[in-house]
Amino acid sequence: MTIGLNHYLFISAVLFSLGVYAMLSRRNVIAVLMGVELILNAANINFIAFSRFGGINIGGQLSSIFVIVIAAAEAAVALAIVLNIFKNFKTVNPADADTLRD
Amino acid sequence: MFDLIFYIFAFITVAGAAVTAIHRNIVYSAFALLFTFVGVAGLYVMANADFLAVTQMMVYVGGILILLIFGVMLTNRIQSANIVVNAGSRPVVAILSLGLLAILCAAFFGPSATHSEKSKDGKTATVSSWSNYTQQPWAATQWNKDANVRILSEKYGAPSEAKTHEGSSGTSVEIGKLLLSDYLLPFEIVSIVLLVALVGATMIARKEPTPEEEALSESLS
Repeated sequence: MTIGLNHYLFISAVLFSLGVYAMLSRRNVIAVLMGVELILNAANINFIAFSRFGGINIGGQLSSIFVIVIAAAEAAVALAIVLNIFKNFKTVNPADADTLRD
Repeated sequence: MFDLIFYIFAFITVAGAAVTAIHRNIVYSAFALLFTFVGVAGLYVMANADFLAVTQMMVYVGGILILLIFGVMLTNRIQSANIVVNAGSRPVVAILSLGLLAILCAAFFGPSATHSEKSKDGKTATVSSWSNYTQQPWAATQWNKDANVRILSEKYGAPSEAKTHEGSSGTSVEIGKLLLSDYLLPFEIVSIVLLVALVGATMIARKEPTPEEEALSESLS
């Protein structure tokens, strides 16, 4: 069986599910960010797969360039916020940063 | 041979992602994420996206992963050995994400991904939509491909073989031309977004100056 669109779609589905698992189950904000990166990579794999096999050609690759840029901006801003949370709450557990709840 | 290399990259990607999601020690998670990113770059190469593969290596491995590791080191007191992440309500989340995987696979490969087609003599045949991309709404396919080549050829002269996606000279020429012609506005917008986000990140993360430092800087200025 030659490599086709389905192989890429399956890998991206697995990556997406693992990213959602990491986002929901981890107790460390940095690990949650890693889950977000996994999900963004899954989306990029889909873009590339459809660019190669689905006929949208080079447009898919351009879309995934923009996704990568947004991911870089997101990582920088999120890390800055995490550092501030750690400075103020002395923890990186997202469940502990609940000042607004009180 | 091609298939074997693909499966190796796929295994690296998925195994790295699994360790990232599951391992208790977050430093190990970060290193497993490195393997995932490299594997994804390999998958890009297998799909003829060489420029994207290089970008992936430079931005993700060289930038985002380093940022994440810095975050790990800045937010954990190494002395107190507080790096290990506690397990939470994992069974529920595992069931949730496995269900998500099942839904995605059903959407990709299940009965809804096939459709029945009536041929002229009234017989219905079940056809996989994925093997016939022209039926999909997102793929105007051949027209789209031709249109890209046509736009390029109108702007830059007759298309050579290298300008089509199947050519062997890589995609960076095409991507560069499209970024500065058809995709110029999104390109500029995203560059401003990146600039603003990075300046904002520095503003958020910087240390608040103490009153003495503030007075000192005011007296100096």
